Amino acid sequence: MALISSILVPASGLVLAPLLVAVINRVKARIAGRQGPPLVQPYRDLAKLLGKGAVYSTTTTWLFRAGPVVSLATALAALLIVPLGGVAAPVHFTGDLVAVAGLFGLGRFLTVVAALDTGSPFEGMGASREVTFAALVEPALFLALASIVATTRMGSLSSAYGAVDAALWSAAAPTLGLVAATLLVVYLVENSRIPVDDPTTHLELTMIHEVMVLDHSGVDLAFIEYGAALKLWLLGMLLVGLVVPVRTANPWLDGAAVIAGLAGLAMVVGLIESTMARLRMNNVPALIVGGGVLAAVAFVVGLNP
Amino acid sequence: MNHLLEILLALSLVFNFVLLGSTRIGACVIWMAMQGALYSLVPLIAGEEITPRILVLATAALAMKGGIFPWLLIRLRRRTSFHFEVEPYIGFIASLLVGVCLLAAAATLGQRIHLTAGGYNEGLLTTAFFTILTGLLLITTRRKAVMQVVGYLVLENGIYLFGVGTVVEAPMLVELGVLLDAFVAVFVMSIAVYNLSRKFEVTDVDKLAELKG
Amino acid sequence: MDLFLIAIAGLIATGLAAAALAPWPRLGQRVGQGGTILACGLGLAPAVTTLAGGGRLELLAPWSMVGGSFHLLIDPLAALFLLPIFGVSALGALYGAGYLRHHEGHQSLGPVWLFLDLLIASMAMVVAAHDGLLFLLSWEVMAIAPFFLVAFDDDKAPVRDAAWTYLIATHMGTAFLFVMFFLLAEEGGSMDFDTIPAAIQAAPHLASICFVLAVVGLGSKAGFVPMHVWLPEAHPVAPSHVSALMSGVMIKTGIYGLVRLLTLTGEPAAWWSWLLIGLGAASGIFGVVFALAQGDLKRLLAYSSMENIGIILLGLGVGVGGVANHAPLLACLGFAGGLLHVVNHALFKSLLFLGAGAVQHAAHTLNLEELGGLLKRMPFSGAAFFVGVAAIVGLVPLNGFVSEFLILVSAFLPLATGHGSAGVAGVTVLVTLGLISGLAAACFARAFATVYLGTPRTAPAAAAHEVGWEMAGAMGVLACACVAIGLGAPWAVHLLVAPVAVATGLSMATVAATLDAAAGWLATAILAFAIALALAATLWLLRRTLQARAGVERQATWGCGYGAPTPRMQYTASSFAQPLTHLFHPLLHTHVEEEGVAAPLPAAARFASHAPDLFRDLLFNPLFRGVERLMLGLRWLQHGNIHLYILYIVVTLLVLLMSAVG
Repeated sequence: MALISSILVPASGLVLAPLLVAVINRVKARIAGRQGPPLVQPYRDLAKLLGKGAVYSTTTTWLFRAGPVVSLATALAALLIVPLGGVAAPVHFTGDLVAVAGLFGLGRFLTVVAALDTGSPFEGMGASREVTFAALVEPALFLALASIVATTRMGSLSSAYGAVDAALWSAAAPTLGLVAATLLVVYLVENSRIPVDDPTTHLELTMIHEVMVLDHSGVDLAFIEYGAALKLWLLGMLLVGLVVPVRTANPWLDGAAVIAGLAGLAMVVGLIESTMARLRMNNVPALIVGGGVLAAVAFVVGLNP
Repeated sequence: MNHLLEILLALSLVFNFVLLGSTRIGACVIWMAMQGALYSLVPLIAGEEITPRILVLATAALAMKGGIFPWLLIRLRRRTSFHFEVEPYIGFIASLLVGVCLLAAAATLGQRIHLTAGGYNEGLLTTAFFTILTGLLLITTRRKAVMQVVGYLVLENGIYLFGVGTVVEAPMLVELGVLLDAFVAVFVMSIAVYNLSRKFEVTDVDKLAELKG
Repeated sequence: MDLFLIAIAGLIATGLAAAALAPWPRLGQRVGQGGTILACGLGLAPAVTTLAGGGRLELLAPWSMVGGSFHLLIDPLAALFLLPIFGVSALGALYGAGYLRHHEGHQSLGPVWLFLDLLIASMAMVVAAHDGLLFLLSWEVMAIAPFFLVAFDDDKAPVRDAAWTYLIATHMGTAFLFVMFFLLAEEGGSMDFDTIPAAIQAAPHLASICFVLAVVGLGSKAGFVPMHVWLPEAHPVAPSHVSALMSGVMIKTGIYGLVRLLTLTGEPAAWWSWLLIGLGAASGIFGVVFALAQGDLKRLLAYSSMENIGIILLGLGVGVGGVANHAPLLACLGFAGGLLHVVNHALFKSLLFLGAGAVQHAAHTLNLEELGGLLKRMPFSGAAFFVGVAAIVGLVPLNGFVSEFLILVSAFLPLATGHGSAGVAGVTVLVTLGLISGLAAACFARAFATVYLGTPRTAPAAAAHEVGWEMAGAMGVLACACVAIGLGAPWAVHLLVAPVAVATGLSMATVAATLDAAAGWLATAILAFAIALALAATLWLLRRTLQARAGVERQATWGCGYGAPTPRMQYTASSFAQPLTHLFHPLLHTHVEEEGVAAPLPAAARFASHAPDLFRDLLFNPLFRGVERLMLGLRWLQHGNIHLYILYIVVTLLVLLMSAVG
């Protein structure tokens, strides 16, 4: 059983992550009254990009080439540590949440440095915004995870998420609900979605993540797109694993519930993107700090048993 | 029952932060009203049984806090000013962070003070203290006179919750008296703000300082 | 212990020899370099054996100094601090000879070597001293030697100012230490450290007084907020290898003193932990925010030292809380994280300062806005600098991550085990450390990118060249050490068992059990990181195969359609930091001078921003100005007449005599 689940958790992410992107796009298309691309479109895009050549800027160095490779590799490694709801991940140890944050941090730093390596003013702008928002998100994420650890009294992600069942929800609903709200904010910021960043905009001046990868093409772009899909999946697992407290002993059932929940999350994101506008850049910090404050409230509420 | 109360209190804590983070006066009034409505429900779900007295108190509170006060304020805002921004002295992010500190202080107070003889939890006291502190913060750091009325009402919400949490049985009359007080206060302040805006065409409380000779 | 004494003597002899050989600069440099490296190598031997073996070396010799004894002790805690002192100093000496080469013949280099060697020897003596008077004496030498090094370029006015700021700051700190030691000596009857526990037992109220005095006195050396004001002044103007020693190693003697005092004062009070955490949070956040706003690379690094001292304090704060609450797990993890960060910071901060020296050497400026594109011109220095940047940001799998991991886990664990107040402290540490590391990433992405990436912004930067083998070698060794501690984290944690046992006062077995568990977690984490690195290598090869089929082109950077980009269009360091400096404006009060673009066909526009130190401007300057005004009232005493001065002395002596007799 342990062997099955240890393959199930990363494998499901590897295969299904691009599907989340497809679901978001499909929901947005439907709400806008369009048919929308088929669900396999992201896979087709990836396959096409992998076969293409590349153009590298003469300004760039080895760091530019390291960016996409490292950011995808860290996302893949994080897939080994983050649990799929009640299904434990293959690698878990006390403090693994710090290691996951470390992996994300490495991937982000290399992406930022690769963007700055081009010397492009646009990419510098994107990198500047990325590090600003990332610096504010990190405390919020730590606070949310701290509240989960404090509620479940478990020191690793897999054991903490394993302990989030229906009984815990009925005992500590306010805390877990507030943490879920924080994680949703973190999810939207980290994945550069509306209301923080608009992944489909065509004006470079208003972008964050997309503008940082302007100079990447071909295989590199495929790596970046796939890595972004994986990040959508990984942070989604942190949120959905908390919100969907299905904890039967059967890993297939638990896993399926969380995957269904991830599809639901993708629909929610599509809905948010269809109904909300992007915030002004100056107002994004208030959103992130507000998200962090929710986790702080969760912690205080959790203190009063 | 108690789970419901906990969710309600957590929600109202969030409302306090929303009040601190809102940039629009209209939104603030509505959040304040919703918080007041939540608090007026507390006696219904916190007590073991619902007596007619509690029912009257809750209904009166709901009508005042959820209906009359916000209606008065929104009407006032429409009549006085074209500017809907809150205009704080300290920024919204700073307000939120000060709010977190106040919440920590309220939690410490809530755990230290044991006023309740009955079965009310520390969460209720914490929430009440925090609501009072939020009201004070709003009064001291917001420039618009309407926002000061809002802050005053948030403060009143906190006092109400504190009263309900500590001495729910006895003083229906006291509570109704407080409500009446608040009503008169809002009425008077509305008139004051209205006249202020007609006289000076602004509602910045900074301008009141200029009245000094 | 013999080797240690020989090393100290060797350092002093080398310094004197190099000073005497000043007329022959090339020979003097060789002697200084070789002698310092040799002596440091000798000094490393006892440190390494003590740390690995867990024993203690002690020497108690008669000393003619009244009230003091020549008592040296090298236990694992001291050995841990000696490691960076001797190790980094040896590399600094290797680097220094290359760095100073272009000064040969223009400027006398003898004093530089003399004071450098005195600095190294006195740092080692501070750590090994086990007697109050010996400690203070070494502390004074350690305080004065850098003054002459900071004033190396003393023909420039800002350099002289910086040197004076440093001297005043360090002596104000020392005054507090004097008070502390004399209070203890009065109670215990001797300056020897061994009498302190008894003195504290006899007068328990002394413990908290001494702790506060030590935090102020040692904190002004280590750079706790608000006593940090000398760091950003003094570190940038010294020669780079001296900056590396001061910023990477010397300020850690303050941390050493604090930890040593904690081992002597018995059980700490719970509020000590809160004081350390509060100071750590404030130092960390202020440090990194100030660093983010700096336009000078070395000034940025100096502020970042303050940030890292903050991180160390957070770890020590959790550890002290663990000792106070009898929670061995927290005590061990907190102290282990804090102490490991001391070593780690010594490595990567020295590396970065040496890297900054290389930049100055190559491009003759440290102004971020005038650099750029150096990675292509200095591939080795750039790669080493990148390792330092990645390590200081706490990226996996380098050494900075390991110590931050230990501190973060020590903050998470009380939540899982349900310690009430420790949980609140833990959350405080988590939030601040999360914010600090996020801001540090922003700060160093900015520093590295504006110096090494993109295209050169000025002609000198475009003409930069790689540095010589001595400078490159020193940086290479430090970079390798950063990687080694990161990948070998489980072993590094095992080496911490003995020092942590001394610091916490717990038994070796308890500490070993806890740190074994932590080493196990780290081993698993490192395995995951190794998998990530292997995956990255695989992806790199995969990309090469795929691209071999489809072909690769090289073109100018995509300018969104604009065809003639110039280097001046690149994002500048100030614009990169703008969103964050705007957000933290209440802390920074950035001063902006702007002549903006107006009218169609605008004339030349200008923009300059400057981030003054809030504490210098709002706290110390008014304070000193007040003191100055007070002192001006006493000006009439000063006549310039020598007879009058002698009269003052006579009167003073008379009054003292009268009071002593009467």
